Amino acid sequence: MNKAIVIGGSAGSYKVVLKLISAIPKYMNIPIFICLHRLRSARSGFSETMRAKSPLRIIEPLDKEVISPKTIYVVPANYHMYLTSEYTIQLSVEEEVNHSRPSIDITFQSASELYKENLMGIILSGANNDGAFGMKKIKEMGGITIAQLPSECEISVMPECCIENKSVTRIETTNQMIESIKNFIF
Amino acid sequence: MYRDYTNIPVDYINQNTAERVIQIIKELKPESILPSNLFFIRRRLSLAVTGLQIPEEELSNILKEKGYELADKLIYFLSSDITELFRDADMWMMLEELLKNTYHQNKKNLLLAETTRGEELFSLLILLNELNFKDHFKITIEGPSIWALNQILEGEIKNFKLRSSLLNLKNVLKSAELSKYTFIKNNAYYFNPDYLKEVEIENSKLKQYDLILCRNKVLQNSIKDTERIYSKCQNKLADHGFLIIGTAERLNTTLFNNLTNVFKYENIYKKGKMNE
Repeated sequence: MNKAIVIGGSAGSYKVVLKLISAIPKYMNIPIFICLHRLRSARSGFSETMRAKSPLRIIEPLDKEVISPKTIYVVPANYHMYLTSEYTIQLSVEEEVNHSRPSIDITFQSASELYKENLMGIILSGANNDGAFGMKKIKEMGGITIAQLPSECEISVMPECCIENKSVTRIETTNQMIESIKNFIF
Repeated sequence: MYRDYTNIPVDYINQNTAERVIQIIKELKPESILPSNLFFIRRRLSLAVTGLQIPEEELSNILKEKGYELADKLIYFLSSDITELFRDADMWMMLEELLKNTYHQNKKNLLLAETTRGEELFSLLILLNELNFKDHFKITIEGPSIWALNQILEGEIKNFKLRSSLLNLKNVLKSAELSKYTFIKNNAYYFNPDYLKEVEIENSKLKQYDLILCRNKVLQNSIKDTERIYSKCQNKLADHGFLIIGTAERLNTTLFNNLTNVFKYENIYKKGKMNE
């Protein structure tokens, strides 16, 4: 069975992501896809900092890269990231979606079609509704959807949009999300 | 006809419709290299039916009726219809450095491969003019949609992302003024035709080029089609010429062993060995 986790976020989410990935054991055996809104011109430093926090393989994928378990994929700056039915990554330079490129909706939606009920989607702190539609698709496909507890967020708009559109299975703190991730992986 | 898609969630046309449409396009234009990711295709065709104002359920029938012309337009929509000048400002600054260091005498041939939008061409023309390199290059464009290429040379800047373009331009060319290169007519932006008149659509498959830009043009294509496109670029590239691809793309240099990665820039390749 192919399982995966997708994580999306914007303002205030980076430090949460660092906490999440530092808690994932190195014998993790599924892919994790992280889609964070980021500066277009910031091509270095983003995933390097993540690597300093975790023994896991963390990369910004190239186009057509084959999805490998035990890898954390961070969407590169100024690209959208799709997952294909051949279990490869396809990047795109299409117009922004929800004023964002990368767009969380695009990654989440394509992941939901690929992994279906074997997917966990996590939405973190952020200031717009990107990801709300994607979370809804994940839930429709039978996946687990988790929103960061709004009161814990730096900016709560992103998880609140998901809560509002009823696409969230659970609302959790960062520590609770860590446990959920571990339970999902193993 | 064109809408701002940035804040509109995109519905996806029916998978069967999308598969049927792609099949018809391939029958009408068998030489076309189309995207391979069905999710992406469904999304792009959703935008196409919105932009062209065709009901989804009638798309296949209208395509069979209108044939080649509509297929050509759909191919255009299967890429993107926005124009953001100097997208990836760091790449343009790198190109500026390459041009200054490499091309400073004799007229060179430059190809924009797999062109479907004008943003690369318009950005390039601005860059060359600002560097006073305008007369150093003969620019040719080629791509999967003749309709799109003709539209580009008519100068209309489709779905112009003005604000992003202005910011990008300032990052790359601090003193350049966009108003020198663009104007508004009938509520649409156009590129100054004075800079477009020397650009030609490729009419000879045998011509060789000193510089080929093929950035982010193969992202939605299969590996096999990607290799076909890069093979075409390799064949068209003159000895010691440069090929520039996207920052998140890599070329298989085992397969294309006549192309060598330029050390300083991961997405620039030179034809021939590095010390030649």
